[in-house]
Amino acid sequence: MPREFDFLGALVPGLLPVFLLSVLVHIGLDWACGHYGVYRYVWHRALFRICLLICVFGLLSALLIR
Amino acid sequence: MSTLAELLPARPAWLRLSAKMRRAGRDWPDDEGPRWLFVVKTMLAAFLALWIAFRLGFDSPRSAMMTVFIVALPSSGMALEKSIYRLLGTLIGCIAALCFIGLFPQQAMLLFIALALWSGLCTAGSAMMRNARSYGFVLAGYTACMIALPALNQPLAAFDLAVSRVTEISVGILCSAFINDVLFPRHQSEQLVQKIRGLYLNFATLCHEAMQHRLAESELERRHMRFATEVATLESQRSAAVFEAGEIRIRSRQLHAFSVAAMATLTTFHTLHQLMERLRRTDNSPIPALMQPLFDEFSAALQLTDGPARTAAEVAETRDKFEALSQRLPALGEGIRQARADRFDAAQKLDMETALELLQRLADECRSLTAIYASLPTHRGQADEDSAALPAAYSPTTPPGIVVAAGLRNAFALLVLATAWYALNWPSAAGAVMIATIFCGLASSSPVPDKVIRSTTLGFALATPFAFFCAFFMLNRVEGYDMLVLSMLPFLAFGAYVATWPRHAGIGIGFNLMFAQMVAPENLMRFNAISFINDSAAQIIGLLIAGLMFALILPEHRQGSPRHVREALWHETALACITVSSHLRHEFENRMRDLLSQLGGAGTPMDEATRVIVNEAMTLLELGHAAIGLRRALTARARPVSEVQSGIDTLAQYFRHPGPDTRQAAVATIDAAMAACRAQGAAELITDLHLIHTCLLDPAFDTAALASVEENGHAA
Repeated sequence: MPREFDFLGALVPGLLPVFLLSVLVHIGLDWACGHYGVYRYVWHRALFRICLLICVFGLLSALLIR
Repeated sequence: MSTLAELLPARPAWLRLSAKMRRAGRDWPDDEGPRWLFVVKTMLAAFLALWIAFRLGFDSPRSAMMTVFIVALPSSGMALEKSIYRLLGTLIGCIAALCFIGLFPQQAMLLFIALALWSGLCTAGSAMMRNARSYGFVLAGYTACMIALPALNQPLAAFDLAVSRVTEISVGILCSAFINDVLFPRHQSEQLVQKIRGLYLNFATLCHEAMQHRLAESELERRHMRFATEVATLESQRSAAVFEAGEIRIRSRQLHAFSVAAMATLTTFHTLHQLMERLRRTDNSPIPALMQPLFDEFSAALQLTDGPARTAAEVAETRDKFEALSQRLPALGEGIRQARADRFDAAQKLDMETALELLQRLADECRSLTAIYASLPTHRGQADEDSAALPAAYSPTTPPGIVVAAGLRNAFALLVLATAWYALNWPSAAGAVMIATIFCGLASSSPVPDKVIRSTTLGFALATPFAFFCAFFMLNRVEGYDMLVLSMLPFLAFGAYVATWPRHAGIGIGFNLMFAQMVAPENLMRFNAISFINDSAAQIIGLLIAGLMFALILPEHRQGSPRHVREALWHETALACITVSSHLRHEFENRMRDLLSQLGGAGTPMDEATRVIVNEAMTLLELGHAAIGLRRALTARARPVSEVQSGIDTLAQYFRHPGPDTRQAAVATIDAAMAACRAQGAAELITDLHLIHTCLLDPAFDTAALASVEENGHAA
């Protein structure tokens, strides 16, 4: 994924689609954590959740952005 | 007689004061603490958002700050829910605005018509939802105006406007979400637990007191209204809690199952109670006295050693009691039948059988209600299997007349104002158009539109002089961000504190919005007193116009208007006789309770007309449930009874056109259906038919009552 790309004539930062993708991944992870009871072992759920999002976003952008 | 206190010497004043201070200090964490926490939270998020917006060099950093004020709600779940819908609404609105600009570049009238249609549609959607989603709808409508109107003559600027609007709002939302959910979480799920306990406790007390004849008729209506409102709040809190991290999402279905079961149980209870009341009133039948021992058993099962169960752990005991009771009931009923049956005539026998059947049904429903309640804390209870069969959501029902009127009003207001703006040569008028559109939309989904507009106008007007003072006497001497914070903080903290009082929340939010809007902190501050006065006048005029629109255009068509709710109630009952759906019973119950909750939504004490409608609604609820039960039993039968089907059809006809003739026709066909059922030995149909029959013949269920009440009201 390039740093910036041309979307219908508008320059869009490459991080934006990566962020949207990581939000989607995060929604799935969040659902799974709730469903399988991971949150029961977590002290601060909201903090855990936002850290999860940052980790996913960091990982994806490190992997996908050249 | 002298008491000890009088004998003692009077305590010195400073000691009394210190005792008072100590008491105040002790109450502070429960009373004032959460309020100040809210103020701190809001201020932190607002200035964080403003700082980021300054650093990133946004065109109007105040939008980020205003977003924080708009989504500032007491619990994390509610704030997150509103944020998500705000973001979605803004995105959709921006896309719509770009489409309109692309379709009608520099065509003022066409653009106005398209915008009016769009914002009318969005407002209608928001009036239909009446929950957090409705905010997203309003936003989609007015964001389109916000982008398209300023870009009317510079279509190329629209894209930049849209991008910066979305960016600013996202920054505000991210800051508020981070502060609200991560730094100062206040979980909705905990409040949900309290709500469920309260709901069950109210239900149990209601049953207990009614069975012991300690409840007056008017009190019963009041409790039913309160119950409907509580179920509606429980459902909206449930939907907010879904946005929080944690396990509440798995429980969501269980919680829904609980509220559905509670509604169904209360309806069965009400049917039984009404049957007994009718028997007592009309013919002094011996049946209520005969049934009383059974009722005593029932209310004993609801009670633990000290009142009804208060927690899910305690309710397990109640569940076991109901388990035993519902197995014992057939034998108990048989005992009564044996003892007295020979002395009854046919009609009394029918009443007896109906009452016993209802009590059996009630005991079974209580058992399943308590079972669901008891299984709530466990990870996955038996309720899971039951709830898998349920419709997933509580669907709000707004009378269609109100929805259409809201859309029309908004479209009309926008069209007239935008045309006036175009014709006038007043540069600030665009602000008035925007504010009028926003508040026409917001007020349409509120049960108290006048109050929303009035309190916001008050907040706006109050904020104007303070904003003037802050902008022209303080900010012009300010150097740097920390000084800016110091000069704005006292005013905004005051606004946020006022917003924590439920009665004046609108004033506080209005104050902060207007203050941030008018002070307009920007990287390159512009100090222009003339445009300040123009803009602030435009904002307030816009609000006044919104109020005027509500008073002038279809003023009767507002949320919770008794006439529309009543029409919708009859319509829903007619649908219950016709619609084919596997969840018909739940859907019908949901919709009826939702309509009832709209009547009480305004929080005003019930007037005579509303009481008549509540009474009518409760009887319609009984009739609808009996009709649904009848239809279900009919389809289960191998050989259908054609008379019953025609009875249901005439009943639907009556619900569609309520009047003495249709009612007579319905009574006649139901009579014929009962005779046919007896002849064909369809005993399972007779209970429901008998219920419908007694409801229809009940003199208290009088469609003319409302007309006479309204006439009296007009005469007075």
